[in-house]
Amino acid sequence: MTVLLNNLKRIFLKPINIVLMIVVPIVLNLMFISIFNAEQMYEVGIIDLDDSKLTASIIEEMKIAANTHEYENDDAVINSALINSTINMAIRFPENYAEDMINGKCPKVEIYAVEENTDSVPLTMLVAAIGTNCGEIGKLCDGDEDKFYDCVEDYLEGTFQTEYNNFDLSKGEQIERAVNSLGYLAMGMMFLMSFATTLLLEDKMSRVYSRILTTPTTRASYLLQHLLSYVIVAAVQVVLIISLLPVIMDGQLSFGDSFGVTLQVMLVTLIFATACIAIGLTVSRFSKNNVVAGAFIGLVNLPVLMLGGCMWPRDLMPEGLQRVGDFVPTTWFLKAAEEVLYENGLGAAWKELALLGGLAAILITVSFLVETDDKC
Amino acid sequence: MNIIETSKLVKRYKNHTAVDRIDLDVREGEVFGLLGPNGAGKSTLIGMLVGTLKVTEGSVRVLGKDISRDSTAIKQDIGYVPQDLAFFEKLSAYDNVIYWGRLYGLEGPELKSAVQEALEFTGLWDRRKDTSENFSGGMKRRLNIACAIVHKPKLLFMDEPTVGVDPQSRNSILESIRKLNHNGTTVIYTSHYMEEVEAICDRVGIMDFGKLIAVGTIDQLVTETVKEEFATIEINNMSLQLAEAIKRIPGVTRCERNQNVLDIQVNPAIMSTIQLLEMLISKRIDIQAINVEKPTLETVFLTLTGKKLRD
Ligand SMILES: Nc1ncnc2c1ncn2[C@@H]1O[C@H](COP(=O)(O)OP(=O)(O)OP(=O)(O)O)[C@@H](O)[C@H]1O
Ligand SMILES: [Mg+2]
Repeated sequence: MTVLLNNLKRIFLKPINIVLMIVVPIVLNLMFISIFNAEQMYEVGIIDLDDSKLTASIIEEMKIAANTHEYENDDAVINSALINSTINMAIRFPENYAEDMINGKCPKVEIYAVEENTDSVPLTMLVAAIGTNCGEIGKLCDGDEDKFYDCVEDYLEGTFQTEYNNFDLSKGEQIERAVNSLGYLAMGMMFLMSFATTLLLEDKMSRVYSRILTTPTTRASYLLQHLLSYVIVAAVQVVLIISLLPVIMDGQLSFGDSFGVTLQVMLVTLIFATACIAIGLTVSRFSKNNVVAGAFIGLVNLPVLMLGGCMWPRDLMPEGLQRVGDFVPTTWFLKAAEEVLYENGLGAAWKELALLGGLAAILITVSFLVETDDKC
Repeated sequence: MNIIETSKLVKRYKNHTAVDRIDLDVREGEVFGLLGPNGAGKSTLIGMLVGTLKVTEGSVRVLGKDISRDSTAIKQDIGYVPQDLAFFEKLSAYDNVIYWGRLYGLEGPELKSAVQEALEFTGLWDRRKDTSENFSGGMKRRLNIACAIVHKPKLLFMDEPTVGVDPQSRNSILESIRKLNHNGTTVIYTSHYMEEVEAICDRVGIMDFGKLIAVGTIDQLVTETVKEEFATIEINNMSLQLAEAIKRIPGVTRCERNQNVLDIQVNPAIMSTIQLLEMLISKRIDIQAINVEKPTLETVFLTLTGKKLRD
């Protein structure tokens, strides 16, 4: 255990390592997810035929969740804006909207959207709900304009904000987002791979490696302890990031609704991390120095991340590349994670997990058993 | 008993034979010196003996066991001071020796006292808390040794342990090797420095181009290999003719004049140095000073390989 403990000391006592392992993946995640969020802002066209205090208030509140654009009452213009996706949807407030509302007549707004485009559904539902609720308030106020506006102001205050957060993501979208986030996490895991390389090569360069092998510590034991120390580091990394990230993202990201699912996500990630570490360990076990290992890892890293769908969805790639991507561990990882996030359990991901575990096992066996000169 | 026995030991790299059919026996309890110029194959030989290099051909027995089968048991009882410094520069001297002690299975109070002993032995106890990175070259060398002796090995390999060490530290290292040997440790010692080997080694093996070309005690090597005698003679009124005349005397194999001094090499089978001097005196040649050189390992090496050890 001497090698193991010493390794942990070497890793955790260097602040830069903590930054690389924990902070960088989290920051990466925040960056990418905030880009997603920016896209989530709705572009809404407004045709306000009423031009009342009420419609002004509603439009004002909508700005929390949407960019609003004023339009003339011209169907042709609105249609082309919708088709060109300049706006996701358009809302027309009819004449006398406020007055009818105060008098308890429950007037309806008209909503325009491209039918196949579901982006606008949440906002459509929200606007409809607001209309109904204002109507209810109107009935209760029984024509008293001052009272009506008091109530409506109170009601509108923050409506969009809370409602927006509540239903902007469907279950599927949420999982897609979690998988994306795990893709960025995979980049962090690949850092680990370079890590495994660094310490072992450091030992080789300082001749400590060959010296250790003149002690009763066997090469297998030495490598196993190296492996274990990185798996421990990876476990810390995985548990911290997967439990911290949703908190930092303030509910906009979730790795499963139940503790069980989250635990499974952590496990899948850890298995992937182990495979990464095994790759790093094998590379550094057989390379003479940092330059060779660094070049090799760099060469492997990027394509594996790209092919595995960590940088963009796999579906965007041509069929041929997707088939090639079937052979990279990042693909197996994200597929397994998706299964688990859909609450299908670890059993549903057995094939991917077996591939990851098998890869790790083969690499570890090779680097433990193949005989080479241990002097560099 | 032989603590090391190799038979036809070969280490071959792609296009280069670094160790060439070496049969070596090292006896328990001795300090055995391995002498040879750069690239002779000393470190490669030791690498195979300590099990870090794969043996290409031949067999190695260390401590009575076959290294290819019982390497873990053997390793428990050997210590290895590598030619290049090998420890954790970021750790203190104390933590380093603790680390190596643990690798040899030491624990608890036993480990602590062993570490203290090793550090005191190498004179580093007072500086034990310092990061080894900041040590002087000589101190690093001593720490390199401390890490190898913490578990009190029966057999200690030292591959040029004094490179770059000032004479004073070197003497203290040599002194400690004598002490270790006195306490029962067998030592294999490689060096470029003749004086070191002459000072501490019971027997010496001379290597060149991967081959072990001579083995024996220093006296044996000298008497067996050095068949000629070496002397310098200072003569008053030295002349060119005189030098030429001496050069022509049968038995004189070399005669170089340097002003008043002659550098002479004779073959005692034909004429000894004494006979030569008697002859010169009888010819009334005015001899001012005589210096008969005792042959050393350096002479042995020169005779065997035709080159100086350190060129
Ligand atoms: N990995 C290797 N591949 C090829 N040749 C090697 C390798 N390691 C050593 N050699 C060669 O083997 C020969 C013996 O080297 P070795 O280090 O054993 O010499 P040495 O006697 O210890 O020399 P020195 O006194 O300089 O330490 C050298 O010619 C060296 O170049
Ligand atoms: Mg050497």
